[in-house]
Amino acid sequence: MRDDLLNIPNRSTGRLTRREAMRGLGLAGLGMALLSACGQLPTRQAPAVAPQATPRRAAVPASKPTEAAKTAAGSPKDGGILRMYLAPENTPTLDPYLNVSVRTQEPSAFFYSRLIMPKKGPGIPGLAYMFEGDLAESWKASDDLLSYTFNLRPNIKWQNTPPLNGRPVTAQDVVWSYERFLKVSPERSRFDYVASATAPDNRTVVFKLKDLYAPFENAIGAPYFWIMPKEVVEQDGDASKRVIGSGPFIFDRYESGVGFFGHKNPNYHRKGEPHVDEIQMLIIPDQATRMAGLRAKELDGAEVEQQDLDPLKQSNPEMQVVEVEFNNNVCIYWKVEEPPFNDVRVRQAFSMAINRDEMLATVFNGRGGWNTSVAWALSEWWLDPQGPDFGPNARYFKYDPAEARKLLAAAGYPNGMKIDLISTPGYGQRVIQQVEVIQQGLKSAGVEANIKMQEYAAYISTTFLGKFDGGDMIVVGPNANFNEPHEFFFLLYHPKGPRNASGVNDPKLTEMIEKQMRTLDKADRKQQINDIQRYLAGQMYYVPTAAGFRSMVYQPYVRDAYPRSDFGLGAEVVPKLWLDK
Amino acid sequence: MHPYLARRLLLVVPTLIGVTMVVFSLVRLLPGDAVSMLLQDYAYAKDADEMRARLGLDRPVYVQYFEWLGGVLQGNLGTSLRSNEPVTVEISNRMPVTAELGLMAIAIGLLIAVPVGVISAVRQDTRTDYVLRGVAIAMLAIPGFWLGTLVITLPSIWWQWTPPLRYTRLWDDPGKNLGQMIIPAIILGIALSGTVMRLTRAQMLEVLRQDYVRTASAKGLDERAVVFRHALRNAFIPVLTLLGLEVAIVVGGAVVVESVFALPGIGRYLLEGIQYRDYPVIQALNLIFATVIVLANLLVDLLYGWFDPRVRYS
Repeated sequence: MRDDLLNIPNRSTGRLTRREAMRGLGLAGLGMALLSACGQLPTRQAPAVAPQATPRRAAVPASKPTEAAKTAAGSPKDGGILRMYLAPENTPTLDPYLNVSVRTQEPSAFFYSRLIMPKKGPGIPGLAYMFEGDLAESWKASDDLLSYTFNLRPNIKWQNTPPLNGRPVTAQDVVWSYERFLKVSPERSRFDYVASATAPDNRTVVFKLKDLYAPFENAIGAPYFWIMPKEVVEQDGDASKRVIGSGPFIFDRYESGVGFFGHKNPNYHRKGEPHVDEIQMLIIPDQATRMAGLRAKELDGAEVEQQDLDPLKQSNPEMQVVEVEFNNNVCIYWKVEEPPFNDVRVRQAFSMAINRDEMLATVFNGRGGWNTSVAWALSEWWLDPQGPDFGPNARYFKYDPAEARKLLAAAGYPNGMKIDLISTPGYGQRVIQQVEVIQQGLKSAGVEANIKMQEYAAYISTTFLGKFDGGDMIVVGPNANFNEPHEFFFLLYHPKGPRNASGVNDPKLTEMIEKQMRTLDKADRKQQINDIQRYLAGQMYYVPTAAGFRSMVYQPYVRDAYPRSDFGLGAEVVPKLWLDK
Repeated sequence: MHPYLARRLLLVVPTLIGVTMVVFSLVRLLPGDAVSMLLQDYAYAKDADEMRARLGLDRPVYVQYFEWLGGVLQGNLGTSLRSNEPVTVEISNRMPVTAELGLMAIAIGLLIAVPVGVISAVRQDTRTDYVLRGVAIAMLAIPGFWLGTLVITLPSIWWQWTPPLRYTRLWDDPGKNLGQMIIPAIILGIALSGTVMRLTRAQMLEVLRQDYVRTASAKGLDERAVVFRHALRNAFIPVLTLLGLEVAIVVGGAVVVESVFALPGIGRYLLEGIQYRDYPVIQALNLIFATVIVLANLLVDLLYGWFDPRVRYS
């Protein structure tokens, strides 16, 4: 009855046999396979061009500023809306003094100014750190090198928005900002070496130092010390609600979870800049979405992971790639005061067990360099451990599992070791792959490393700060993108360094670090920094690994987009680029 | 019904207080704390202690709890530790996005699942049934993030097209907003529809064998009337129960789908809150989710009576 009622076809013809069902499933599987093949999913597809087997040894700066710096015939065109991916998540606050996160500092570069900033232009490597004036027209050091005087430009004005109303930016604003920075910024130790900042007149700022400090320009020009609007902070308590600066763009609004929006500052002090009328800096959490946005021209530019670069070049060869060396140093660290890592032979053995070439090939598309205690990206200061000048300690960077086994045996571990390897997935796939390469390398030297991944929040607030047990336990993780060798040395190796997670306290090394800090002659300082790198290669308090590039991808119509350095994209790169469409 | 409703509503209060206590305690048991996350790489001990005191996190946990609960009772869900902005404001900005996504997803899920479930039951053991059941299992098996990534990636490669990446609010431009929301809602709806479809089919098969269905048919009623008015209405009660539970799945799915489609909803806000140990955000959102789920299930219970007049509330 029910069959009639419900109009079910005759069972003998309508019902599937098992064979038919299996055939159907087989066809469905084939269809799925074809769909995947047609989809050319970037993560599953072998690159058409195999990664270079031998990593390039970068004895010279290796960024490629010219690729996107091609200028169309004629002068830059003004106008247009620039839409880029800026961050995967919200900014914690709009006040750059209240949080040191890149999520806060990077947007600030669009709207605020600094005294000086890294120069960008044709042929200048992204990490060259050749400074030019931002608010400052000129600057000079005193004869005793204990004070620096900055002369402000005559034409600098705050954006024409209440309560600033376009008034001139004065030296008093700089001093006020410095004093507020010391009060509220978690980065205030950046100015520990400064004795005072004064404003003898409206256009002159004088910084007096407590001691000689070679990286002074670098510290003052880093994208942290923005000159802030006094009136806004006095009225609102901080600068988290209103963004009014003297930078290239005027802040329109921040939409939580969506992005930042702004327009051109017509009174910007760097004449002719910016070229685009409007900026839309979007928050896009998912990497696949960013890639799709680039392909669909929903985005004019975005930073792209190295693993996604080849598939993108294949599907969209017209895209421009602007690269800069990655100044990040993923290291192995441990407690150097406790066995087994208080024995230098064990530390050296671990370093010799790392296949840095394999790491470059696997993680960085075969391109990059071997970090020492200074990231290879800081090519001006980095001493190539594969070069002729490094000396005998260069051998500890070479992958040599047999020698590593001998060192371990000499240290009392003839049968190898079993250790825990702590890391975090919080830095993404790149660091996870580096961890896996390290684990494989250690195995070749007889060290069984049991990987234990910590959730990022747990990692950053415990292990990263050195709060972990010593003994048979190592940590693998990156440090921040420092742009000065002193930052690598002081923060990681000095007993007072806040990131000295290994617990290094080596009086000889401390003396070397403090000496180079006070050496203002560049050639002499470089020699000292070379010596420190050689010395640390022997000690291996932290075991440096290898790093590749950071890649910004732009649409073909984007012109004069130079390599970025740190968080200063909005002030250094974006004002110069223009849209040829 | 009114005493039943009053009793159920009264039970909501201890349930939600229990949720707040559990969430409040659990987030503080997680390794890592908000201050370390705020200071990240630069956590000098002195700065961390200062900030912990400034945020009031150095006080006993029970003091923090009762202070927060007092605020909640006055409509203040707390202040984000990370942004220093009121959580209530952020949630009110983001809630419409997730609510729109969730409602669209449930509607789409039902639009897919119920007809497919009915057809599958009515055509039991036919090719149609096998195909539809296969589709339902695929819908259950395919993770939303994978489907979302495919939907984002493949059109961008094939046709240089992707859904708009810049979110537009419904009241700013309804057409643009719907254009942006429809794909994520379909993906979320598909995830829901698999379970609902299978349950609908199973219930329909059972109901279609009941005597009253045969009687209705014997009376000469139209087939559609028998299926939809008599059979489906009774088969739908367990499906309704399932829908109440699926609200939780929508909330969970929203976390992923909002990230893939760059939608500024509360799912993403929760994710960021957890990543940064932003306690007030986690507490507030869990309280809201718990409230929504409890009320949705209460609504489902009340709807039983409408679907089946035999159900009595006592």
